[in-house]
Parts: sequence; structure tokens; C-alpha cells
Amino acid sequence: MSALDGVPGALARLEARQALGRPAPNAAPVRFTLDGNEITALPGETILQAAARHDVPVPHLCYTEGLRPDGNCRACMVEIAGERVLAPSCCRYPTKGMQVSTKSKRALKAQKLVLELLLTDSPEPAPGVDSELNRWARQLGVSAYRLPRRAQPEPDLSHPAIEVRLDACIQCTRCVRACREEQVNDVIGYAHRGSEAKIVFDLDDPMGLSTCVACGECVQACPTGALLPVLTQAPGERPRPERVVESLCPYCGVGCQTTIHVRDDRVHAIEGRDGPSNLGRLCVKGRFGFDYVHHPQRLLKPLIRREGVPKDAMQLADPGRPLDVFREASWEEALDAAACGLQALHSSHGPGALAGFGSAKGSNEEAYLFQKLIRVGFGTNNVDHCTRLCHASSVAALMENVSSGAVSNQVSDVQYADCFLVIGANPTVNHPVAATFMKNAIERGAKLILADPRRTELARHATHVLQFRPDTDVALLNAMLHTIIDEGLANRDFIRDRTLGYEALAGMLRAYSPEAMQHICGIPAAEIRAAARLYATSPRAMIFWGMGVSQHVHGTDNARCLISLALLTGQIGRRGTGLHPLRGQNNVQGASDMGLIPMFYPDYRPVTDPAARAYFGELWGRADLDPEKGLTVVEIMNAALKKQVRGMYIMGENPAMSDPDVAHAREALAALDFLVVQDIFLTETASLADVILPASAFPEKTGTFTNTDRRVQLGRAALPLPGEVRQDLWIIQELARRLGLDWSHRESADVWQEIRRAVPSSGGITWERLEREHAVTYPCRNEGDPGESVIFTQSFPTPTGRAQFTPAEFRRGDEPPDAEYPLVFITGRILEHWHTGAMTRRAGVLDALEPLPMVSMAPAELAKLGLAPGDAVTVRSRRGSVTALVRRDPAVPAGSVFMPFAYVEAAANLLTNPKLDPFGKIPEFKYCAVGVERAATAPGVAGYGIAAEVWAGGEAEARAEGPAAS
Amino acid sequence: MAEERTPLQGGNPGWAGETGEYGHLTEADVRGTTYVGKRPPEGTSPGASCSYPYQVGGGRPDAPLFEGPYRERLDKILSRYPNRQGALLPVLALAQEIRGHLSPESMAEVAAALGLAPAYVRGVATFYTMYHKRPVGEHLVQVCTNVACNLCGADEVLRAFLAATGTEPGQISADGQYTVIEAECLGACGFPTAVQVNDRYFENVSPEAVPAILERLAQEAAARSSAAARQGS
Ligand code: SF4
Ligand code: SF4
Ligand code: FES
Ligand code: FES
Repeated sequence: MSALDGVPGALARLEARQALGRPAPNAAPVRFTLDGNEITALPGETILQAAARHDVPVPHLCYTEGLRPDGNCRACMVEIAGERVLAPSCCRYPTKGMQVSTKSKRALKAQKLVLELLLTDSPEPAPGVDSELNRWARQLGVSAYRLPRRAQPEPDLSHPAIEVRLDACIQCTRCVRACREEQVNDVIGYAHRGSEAKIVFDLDDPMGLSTCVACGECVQACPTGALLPVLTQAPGERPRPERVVESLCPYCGVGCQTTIHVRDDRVHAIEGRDGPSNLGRLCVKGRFGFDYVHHPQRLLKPLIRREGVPKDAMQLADPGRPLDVFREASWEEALDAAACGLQALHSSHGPGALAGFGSAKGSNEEAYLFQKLIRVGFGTNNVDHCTRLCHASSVAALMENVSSGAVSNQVSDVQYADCFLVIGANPTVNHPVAATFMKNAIERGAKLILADPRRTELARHATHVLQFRPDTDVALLNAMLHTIIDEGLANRDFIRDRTLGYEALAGMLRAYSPEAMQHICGIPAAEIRAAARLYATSPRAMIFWGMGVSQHVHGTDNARCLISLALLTGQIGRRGTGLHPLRGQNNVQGASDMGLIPMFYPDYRPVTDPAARAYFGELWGRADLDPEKGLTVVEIMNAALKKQVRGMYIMGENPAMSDPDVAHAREALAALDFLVVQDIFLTETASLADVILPASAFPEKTGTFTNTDRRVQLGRAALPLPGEVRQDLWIIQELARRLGLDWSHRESADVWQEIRRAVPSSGGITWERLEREHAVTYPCRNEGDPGESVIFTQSFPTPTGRAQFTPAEFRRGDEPPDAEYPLVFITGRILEHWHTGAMTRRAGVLDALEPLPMVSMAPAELAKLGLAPGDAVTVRSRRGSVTALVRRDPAVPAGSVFMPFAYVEAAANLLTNPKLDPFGKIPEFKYCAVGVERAATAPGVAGYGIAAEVWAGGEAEARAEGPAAS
Repeated sequence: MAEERTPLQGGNPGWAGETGEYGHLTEADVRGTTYVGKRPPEGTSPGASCSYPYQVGGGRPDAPLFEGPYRERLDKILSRYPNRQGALLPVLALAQEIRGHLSPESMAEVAAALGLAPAYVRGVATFYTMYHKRPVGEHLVQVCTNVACNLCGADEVLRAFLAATGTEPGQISADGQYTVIEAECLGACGFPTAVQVNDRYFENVSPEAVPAILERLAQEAAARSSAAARQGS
């Protein structure tokens, strides 16, 4: 298909179309005549697309790249020789020798009439709104409107993020297709008929009260400005951006590419870019959650703790008033203080008394230099980051059984799957754009098995919904494995040729019949068998999992079962199959690859392996690297309380919110002799620091980030640094120099060169290629390798080349409910808020959408306690208590409480259990015992004080009624 | 189940079935709608329910949807379609039969029952004019005011209906019996003015004929209710 070479996206378009089951009629290039010139249409191209590629503009309104052509506006009419009527070029494919005229008298007349009719009813576009209708009208010289204007609807301004001005609507239904077919949120409809036809949200509800999840896909699709982003910064005018920068979304592991619109050095808007992981789609966080960078509480100067102000774990500093506790300092002074403090502890107590937490939100370059600093400068392996809290157990199981911690297949592979299992993950909330591809796959015919204690949004699309009892994952999965063996559905060839340990697994599984397990996991045996059969017998089946699997004391066992499922059926090593632990943070894959973990150097080379030590000793110029595994996140906190760890350097992490039993973590941080925190806000962790170094925010830096798909992508700086803020990379290198390392200052591109040597699996990825292609998948060992999207195709990277079955026995969670704490506490996230809320609760739209701390419970459970939605409740566990507003949510199973951990004023992690999984060292965030009762007082509206303006009161209760967005 | 037959004696001059050699047939026989007026709620053959006329007076806006016999009819409808989306039109018709009109709440319930998006159901329900988005009287009188009828005085007929029922277009009369609206071409242009009352056509209607038609409708309604009372006692 050489004709496709050099045409960006053409092949991808054809493939995507075929994957969606819509084969294009012209599978080969077609020669035809366009306005007298002979041209070639590529496979899958319509007349309009071919014309556009040859710089022949044809007006079009209802068609836009990426959406299914609908052919409803008729602005794109062309004349085809020999045909009686004009043809819509957006949905007509050329045939050999066809003679098409886009500018014949008839065609032009038709095009112009459509534009004129539409213009008649349209208002003048608001200043700064670039209406495609007006643009085409200008180009075709349509201006006189000969017809009277009809009455037009009033604007609907009920949504915090999106203005609906249907007077500008031309009924092109791009928004309908965006909402229904792209995002599959099914909110927008096209109702009524004839001259009354209109865009509606749900049942013609105001947008702000509809089930809209504010992904903004419709806004991006609308050609006329009938749907517009609300202007939070300069109401009234919509100035053009001064520059646009191609970058990434800072939030989740999906790794959406974005275009950042900048004006006056402020982010002005964000649009989805056509990246391989998002195809132009975004979610509410990525599209609207950007103004945190400009929040007044940004730290702009280095801070040093005031003499004599004690560290109080119970009383955190007010992030709006840092000067109560800290004083401003120059960079010189702050860096000196930081280096001296750490150096002193190093001299007095040895390297083991120091530790560092890096961040999965920083770039690969930052993560790499950070772990290098800790290992080379501090001389210890006590370096970890939040991967320990999310997928450590998954990685432990993957390393153990297939010797690679990353995903085997990319999210986009779901387009090729016949069946996929989603377990312990709520992608519509936590990986929203990945969820859209899953929903697309279901529309195409793939079958979903959804396994989760909560009946999450994807249940609407699922073939089997296995709402098992919390904590019984292993029972359920073993029963599925049992079924597959029992019913002879195992893939004998695959087991024989590519695995080890089948006998032991089969032996153990004998005791796990679905008939026996149904009483434990609460799913009828027949249903378990049906789901297992579907997975095993589908030609291609995939597994996605999330924190619901990993965050248990048996998280590693849960993941082992999933690996066994794939190995037993041979559903791995091919397109549309495989194992995909959905990564949480935008760079959690990269940070782990870079060795930001206590037991591995970059590229997962064990610190205990002398060869690896020698290699990195050589690369880094320090022969005596620490040969012992370092401590993990929770272990470091425990060691701090015991005064074994005394000094820490924390970059971009917030353990004072994110760790389990956070009161304990805060005590531990307060107990440190010396703490340096590098962050963009005065986080809960920073308020216990001795020195705070103001860091750069995501849109202010350039660097690479690796998404859940093993795609290394380039984020580019869009904004200058505010105040005295410095690049994180600069800060790390300055500290290193003050700790006596002879590091020169290097930019991300230089650091990447070193990473290529440290991480051979990414060694073939050059900076130039990243700049050109924006994203490259690893493994990519040599320059020019395309990058492998599917791994394990021939063998596993284990010494034998075979994967291992590791049987896992069912055992209970650490803290089952009892009489005093009768409910199961499940933590997680909601769509609008990211992790500890430091960013999203400072983003106007997101905070307006979800301003208050909440817990959700089953209707029956509420009734039992005599509570109504919106009541304040106190949730208490053995470790603490919090107050939040309760929501009625039929998705939450009876006997449990769900709570997001984003709220500083009601930190869910005050309640969680710090008990660890023995292998992955991950705490049990998803299961502990709590009690709930009506609270004496309502929680104060806290957050970071921006919700009030955007949030029109009263809606809190309205939302509390509906099924929660979680 | 006692079936209500409507003998045709005058009063419907334009109805073709009454002329010629088939004079012995009832309207119901000819139209294939076994049940004109009230339909036994459990339905008849599975095939009958989708062709059954939607506009049947007597719905209760607060009646539960799809319970008891209506649940069975819903299941029957679902059994005829390859997917749930396909069943939407007849299910909406059923909901309208039960409740008399399709409120947004009813649309939401239908959406939930079929697992479809509310916005989609809304779009379909509002596209078709035979689904009522507002409550209507027991008899929905649709007067064609399109070209052919208009030339033959449809406006007068419309006015006569409005005056006789004491309503404005679209309103429900005080006794709850009538709603009069204008309709576009009813496809009976050969017999102007055409008027449709619920599922039944009246043709060649002149303003003078209006009282007689209303009288006849009232009589039939009375007969139905006394029959129902007899049956109930
Ligand atoms: S913002 Fe997203 S969910 Fe909301 S109406 Fe638009 S496309 Fe649908
Ligand atoms: S709102 Fe915009 S995208 Fe939707 S139909 Fe109207 S003009 Fe088209
Ligand atoms: S763009 Fe072709 S019909 Fe609208
Ligand atoms: S114009 Fe009245 S029925 Fe056709």
C-alpha cells in the first residue's frame, strides 16, 4: 500500500474503519477526475476527503474528520457527470473514472443555498467564536439573507463548564455523534421534527441537570459555537489564542494528547489532539481541569519553616497562608538549607536514614534523575513512589509469572477483541477515554464481562455483570479457572508449549468449583460458568484490571489468578488478547521504568544483582551502590516513626493524603528530623516540611511521559514559569551539586540520551523521533524499530521463555466487618477529582461540579440508618473518622460504603487499613471495616475556596438524588 | 373477553366499507382491528399488538407501566424484535395506551425498561405525531387543514369542532372528552374535509355535520361505559 505512505493517518483511518466493522467500499486507491484534474483517492477516502487532500475545499458542516459521515446538511453537494441529482461528497466514495465537479453552477447554487438558509437563522457569532458556517459563507461569498429569521431558543447556562446557545445550532448532529458514537455517553439526542427539531440533553433537561459527564466532546465537535466552553477567565469575549502548544494531559495513564491554547501566558482552553491513545477525545479533567496552574495558592517562592514553629500532624498549615508557618527565602538559601539538612543526617546516621519519594506525575527525566540522586547522592535504595499504592501487587505478580510488569497489549487492542473482562476497575471514571474505546468495541460486537463489587457505569453495556462480594476476588477467579479446566476449555497446546506449573495449579483448583465458591463470592455458579466459558471460547479475549484488584492484602494473588486465566486459555501474545493493568497516573509506567522503586534500577534490573549494580555503578560513576533493597512507601513511614529514617526528599507526592491510615503517615512525616518537599502547592505533606521548593506545573515543562500502553510521549512546555518557580529538573540537579555530585545542568532532551543507555528497551527512541511523531511505543531497542504494541507473541522474557502458573489460595481481607464496624469501606475516585485533589479541587470547573466531600451507599442501607441523600454522616474506623454528605447510589452493594479519597476536609485515608500485601507491599485501600452514623454537624465547604462563585447553590441536593457519578 | 362491536348505522358517510356488497361487515371486521374501543389488556395474538391503534381513550397518567398483563404484552413485543431498540415504537405505544400520553417520566421509564438512552427515546417519541407528549381528551379530533381540505372549508370545520367542544386547539374540554387539533394531510384528500377521531376516519365532514358526529361519539362512549359497568357487576 505504497499510496498510503506519507499520508498521516490514512492507514490508521482505514484500519479503524475496518475494526469498527465498516469496511470502506474502495479498498484500493481510485483514480477519478475532480474539477477537471485527475487525482487518486486513497483507500477508504470519500470524495470530500480526497478533495481536501488535494487542496480543493468543499464546504461541509455536518461532516468532520473522525466522526461518521451523516450526510444531513447538504452543504457538500457536488455534481457527478451522468447522474441526475447532486451527491453529498462527504458520504460518497469515488469510483474509477468518475467525473466530479465541486464548482459547477448547479453544485455551487446548492452549496450556497444551504449556507444562506442556515445563516438566516443564525446569530452573528460571538466575538472570538470561529464558526465554520461563517467561514464557509465568507469563502463562498454568501451574505445576503433573503428570508425572515425565525424565533430562536434562549441560552441554557446551567452547566458550570459548557454554555448551550442553540440559537446558533444548525442541527448538523455532530454533537449527537460525538456524545453517542465517540464517547458513548448517550446524553445528547435529536428530538422533535421539522422546523422544531432540536438538540436535547436526556429528556430535554437543562444541561447542568442532565447526566452529562462534561467530557466536552460535543463542544469540540460543534462547528458553530452552539456549544461553547464557559469562560471562567474573561467572560464576554473569546480572544484567539496567541499560541497553541502540542502537549499531553497531566492526569491519568491513558495518555491523551492535547493542544494547549495560550493567551497572556495563561491556559485559555484545551483541545483533544489526534494521538494514538485518544484519537482527539478527552474527558472532563483533561479538557476543563487546567486552571489549577493559575490558582492563587501556587507556591511562587522557596519557603523555609519559621524558627520555633513545631510540626503538628494534627493541625496542617492553611495552604492559603503559608507565611504563618514558613518564611520566604531565596533559592540559594533554600537549596543550601535543603542540602545541608540532608547531608548532616547522612553524616550522622548514615545513608539508611535518608529516603526519597518521587512522583508518577513527573516526567521520565525527572524520575530518572531523582532516583539517581537518591542512589548516588544519598547512597541508599530507599526511593519509591505512588506505584506502591496502586499497582505494586500487579507488577509483583507480572514480574513473577511473565517477567514483565507492563501491559501486554494496548487499550486500543480492545477493538480487535471478541470478549473482554474488566475487573476491579471503573474506567468510565478513572480512565474515561480508554472507556470510550471499550464502549466502541461493545457497539462493534465485543462482549464485556464486568466483575466488580459495585455496579459501575459499564454495567449498562456488559453481557455478564458479576457483582461479587468485596474481598472475594480470588474465590471468583479460581472458580472461573476451575470451570475452564473442568469443561475442557483450557488451551492444551499453549499450556504445553509456553507455560510451567500447570499441574500445581490444576491440583489446587480442584477445591474451587463454582458450586462451592458461589456461597463465598455471591455469584451463582451458572453465571460464573457462563462468564468463564465466554472468556475461554472467544477467539480473542482481553483482561483489564484496576485498583480493585491490586489494593488488597491479597492483591498479588488476585493478579496471579488473572494471569493464570490468560495463560490457561492462551489469550495472550496476539492482537485483541492479553493482560492490561490500567495504569493510574500519567507517568506511573515511566516512573517505574526509570527505577523509581526500591528494589529495581532502571529497566527493572534488581538492585541485588551484582551485574546490574556494576553496570549502573559504571554509568553513574559510583562504584559502591547500595546492594540492599530499599524500603517501600509504607515501610518508610513506619521507619520514620521509629526514627530509622530521619530525613526525606519528597518530590510531587502527597503521602499525608494518599497513604493508608493517614494520621499515622502524618505523624511519621512530622517525626522526621528534616523534610524537603518540592511541589506546586502547600500540600498536606508540604505543611510538615522544613524546606519547600516551588516546582513547575505540568504545562510549564517539557519531558517524556509513558502511558499505560507503554507509549513514550512528549509533553511540551506551554507556559513560562510563574514567580520564582524553577524547573523540577533544575532543582534536582542543583540539589545534586550541593550534595557533592558533579552534575552539569541538562535539559530533558540530554537526560533522555542517558536514559536510552539505562533503559535498553527504550534505547531506540530518539528525541527527534519523539518530536516528530509525538509518541513511540516500547519495546523499541534500536533506532527505527516501529515499537511493539503486542508483546509475548513468541515467548516470555523469562529465563526459560515460558510463563509460570502461580496458584493462589483464597484468603480473607485483614479487617472484616464486625458488630462495631459493620460495613465494608471501599475507597476510590470520582470522575471529577484526581487522587488527593491538590490539582482538581483547585480547578474551577471540576470543583464546581463536585465541590463537597461525599460517600455513597445503597438505598437499602440508607433506609436502614434512617438517612436521606444529602445528610451529613460520620464514617469511623479503628483509625479515625470523617464527616461527609451521603449519596444514594444503587451501584454500591448493601453492606458497604464507597468514598473518594480526594477530600482534604474528609480524608478517606484517615480510615483505611495500612496492612500490606506480603509480595507487592501494597496497602489494603479497598477493604476495611467502618461504621456510619448521622453526623452532628455538616462538613464545612472547604476545598480550596473557589467553588462558591461558580456553583449555584441547591444543586448539591439535586445531585445527591441521582445515581452518583462514581 | 367480551368484545365490543360497533355496528355502523349512518353517521359515517364517507367510510368506504359501508357501501356496496359488504354492508354486513362491521368497521372492525374490515379494518382488522378486532377490538375497536377497549382492548383486552392481555392482548390477543402476538402479532396484533403493534398494528393496534395507539389512540385509545381512558389512560391513567399515574398508572404503573408494564405491570400484570401489560408486562406480558411488553414481553410479547420484545420477543418479536432482534434487539431492544427495535421494540421502541410499539413499547411507546403501549405506554401511551396505559397512561394516555407520554410524559418525560414515561419516556424515562421506557428508556430504563429497554436499556436505551433517555435522549434517544425522547428523540423517537417526539418525532412521531401519534405519540402525545401532553395529555389529550378521551377523543382526539384531528381536523385536516391541508390543501384539499382547506379548499373545501376545513377551517370552518375546525372552528365548528372548537366551538362545539368549547376548547382552544390542543386543550382538553371541560368534561375531559375532547381535544381538537389541526392535522396535516390525512391521506383522504378525495373526501374533504377529513377528520380523524382517535383511530377512526370521518370523511366529507361539513361544519353542519359536527354536532351529529359529537353526538355519536358521546353515545358510543356511554354505551361503552355501561357495558363495562354491566360486565363489572
Ligand atoms: S460534554 Fe460529553 S457527555 Fe456531556 S453532552 Fe457533551 S459529549 Fe455528551
Ligand atoms: S449543537 Fe452544534 S454540533 Fe450540535 S447539531 Fe447544533 S450546530 Fe451541530
Ligand atoms: S457535510 Fe456532507 S452532507 Fe453535511
Ligand atoms: S388535504 Fe386533507 S386529507 Fe389530504
